[in-house]
Amino acid sequence: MSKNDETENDKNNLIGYDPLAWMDQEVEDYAKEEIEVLQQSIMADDNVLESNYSNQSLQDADENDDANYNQSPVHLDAALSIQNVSALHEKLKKVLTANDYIEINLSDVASIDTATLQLLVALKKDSVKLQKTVVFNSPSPRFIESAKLLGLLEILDV
Amino acid sequence: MRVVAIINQKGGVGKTTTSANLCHAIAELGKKVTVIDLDPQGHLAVSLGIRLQQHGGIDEVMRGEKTIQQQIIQVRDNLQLITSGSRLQEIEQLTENSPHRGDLLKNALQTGLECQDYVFIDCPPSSGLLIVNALFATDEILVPMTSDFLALQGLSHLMGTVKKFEKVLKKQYTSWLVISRYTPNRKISRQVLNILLSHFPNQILATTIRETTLLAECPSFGKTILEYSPGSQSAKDFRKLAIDFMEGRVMYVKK
Repeated sequence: MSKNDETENDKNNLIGYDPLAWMDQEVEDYAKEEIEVLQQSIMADDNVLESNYSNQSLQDADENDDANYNQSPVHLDAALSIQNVSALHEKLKKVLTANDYIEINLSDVASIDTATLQLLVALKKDSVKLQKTVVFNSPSPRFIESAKLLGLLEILDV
Repeated sequence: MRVVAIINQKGGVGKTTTSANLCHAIAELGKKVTVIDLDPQGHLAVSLGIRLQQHGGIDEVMRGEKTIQQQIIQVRDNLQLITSGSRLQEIEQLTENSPHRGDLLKNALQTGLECQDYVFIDCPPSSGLLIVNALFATDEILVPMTSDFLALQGLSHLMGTVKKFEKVLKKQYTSWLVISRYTPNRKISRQVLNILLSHFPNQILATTIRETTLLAECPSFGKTILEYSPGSQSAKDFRKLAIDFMEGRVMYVKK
């Protein structure tokens, strides 16, 4: 669609805003409830985390990988979703292996889903086990809102 | 038996019109239908030709004073009505003497309607204790929606309420929308419908109920549209809507 078409569509739009837009978050909210349950199970039994993001797997990360992956601080992208969580997982594993102090910059985060939040929780927990430090810096309002919704502000220490 | 709340906290969206005509259309198809007037205004009863309401209705059942069988009025073949009753408003207004409970209707429906295929609850345009009772009593909701912006706003509020209930009661409602009072020649109507389709895919019943003067006229005669003007477009709309509802026929987004 060309810009002219979009402009024309905007002109023809008779509805200023969509009062139901919040419902788009609802599908995610169900997933958020799942992560909340997961979070509770993490607190109750750290083995849950170990199955997904184990110390061993973190320690086994290839130390010879691209040096760019090993740099801290790590700036997270604006849009964080399950589509790219696997790549981010790999990246964070390498950063955690290469550094004792990891700084994650959250200032650009404009949207974040539960899968990514789950990964960040796992990172935080694993860093404690490895006696390393993960710090989440400059959280964007959107990040804080999402973490707050899930009751993760404390565990992420933001 | 399907227990369905016809619900929308916004007024004027066609809840009672939908209740009267959809219930009658389903009853005409041979299904046994009971419709409960949970709106203290009692307009559903009037729409079905019951004007004298000195006797009690669902109010007395919810108060534990009568059984549901005692309150049934046979209004058409296969269609029975339970009126609101004169004291239903007391439950809504939480007066000192009223029982402050959300499970009164659910308990009231436990026995006496087992042989029915459908039980519909025509809800009031409010968000008080009567709505709480309706949502407690059912797992299925039918939301009449007009195709204007403020109806979207109202629907947003309603869905917020429903989501809270789903969370508290740990259940998920089967939700249907019916587009009522539709004016297809208005551009905003089509745009509202498109927004609804984007948020409620596979939940909007396939037939839209178009706004007509006939639908506005028939309640004063105590007749449904199927009796007042059986061959009209509105009667056809409701007959088709009945099949949509029974068979789960929904609108699809044009690709």
